[in-house]
Amino acid sequence: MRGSEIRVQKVGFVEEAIPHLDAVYRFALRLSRGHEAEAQDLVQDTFLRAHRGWEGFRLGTNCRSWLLTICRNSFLRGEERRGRRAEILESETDADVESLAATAVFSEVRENVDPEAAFFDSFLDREVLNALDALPTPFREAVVLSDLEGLSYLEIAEVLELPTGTVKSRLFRGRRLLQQALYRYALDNGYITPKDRT
Amino acid sequence: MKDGTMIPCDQVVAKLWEYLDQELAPEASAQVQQHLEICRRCFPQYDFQRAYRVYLLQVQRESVPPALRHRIFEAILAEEATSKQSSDVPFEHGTGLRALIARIFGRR
Repeated sequence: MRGSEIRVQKVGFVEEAIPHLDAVYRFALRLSRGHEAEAQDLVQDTFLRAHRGWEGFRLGTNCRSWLLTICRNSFLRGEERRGRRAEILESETDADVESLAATAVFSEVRENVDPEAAFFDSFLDREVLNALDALPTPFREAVVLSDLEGLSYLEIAEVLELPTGTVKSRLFRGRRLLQQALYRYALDNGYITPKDRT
Repeated sequence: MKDGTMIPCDQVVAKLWEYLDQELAPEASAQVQQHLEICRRCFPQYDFQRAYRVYLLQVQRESVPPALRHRIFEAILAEEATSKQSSDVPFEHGTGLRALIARIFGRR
């Protein structure tokens, strides 16, 4: 009897957790700023920890968020061991979210690109991922979870263990930083030509 | 944007990301949409931010390398074997699990 109970739990693990392997791998790759070996170790550690802790997972809740949380915690522990301190952010409040949302890099791009939406077509995937990998971790993880993996604010809040207001603030600031970096890169590499400059 | 039924441009711009992320309540979302349909000033910024979202979602989506899949598969089985020794799980449990993992891992 005990055997069949264990079998059900572990089979549940394989069916519930393994389908999220690619999402965890992509998250690990971006957390480790594209370092393949580190990302692979993170993924393996995540799945082994999840397998050992499967009894603590409630079926019917969000398995992807649970795995991404384990992955992130594993990454943060590694950073601590390597003596890298977590980035300290300025104070974050819900109040600044609206003004952050309004300050896109749009106005700068608008001066030099027409139509503005075509701006993103000039980049290679590799260039965007490099720019993303250069963001400080608190912004990088929010942008990756939202813009690459398509998680909702609530799911991101669950993974990052933050209030949704802080998630929005990090996401909007992260997007602005990423767009600024891409804008500078585009100028430096001649993808766009500054107008009105002689 | 003087029409009394319209929300002003600054409110629309402040809500653009949440609108694009489909995080606004239906009523607020409808207000933003209604505004964008007729406002020539706000639309280009919406178009730019939408292009960003669409572009990022299309960035190459890496899959787990087969060797890593295999490594994780073996590590899980090794843990299963260890726990099998320390409990009275019947032998066929491991066999069934191997078949199931192989099926799911090989599905892609």
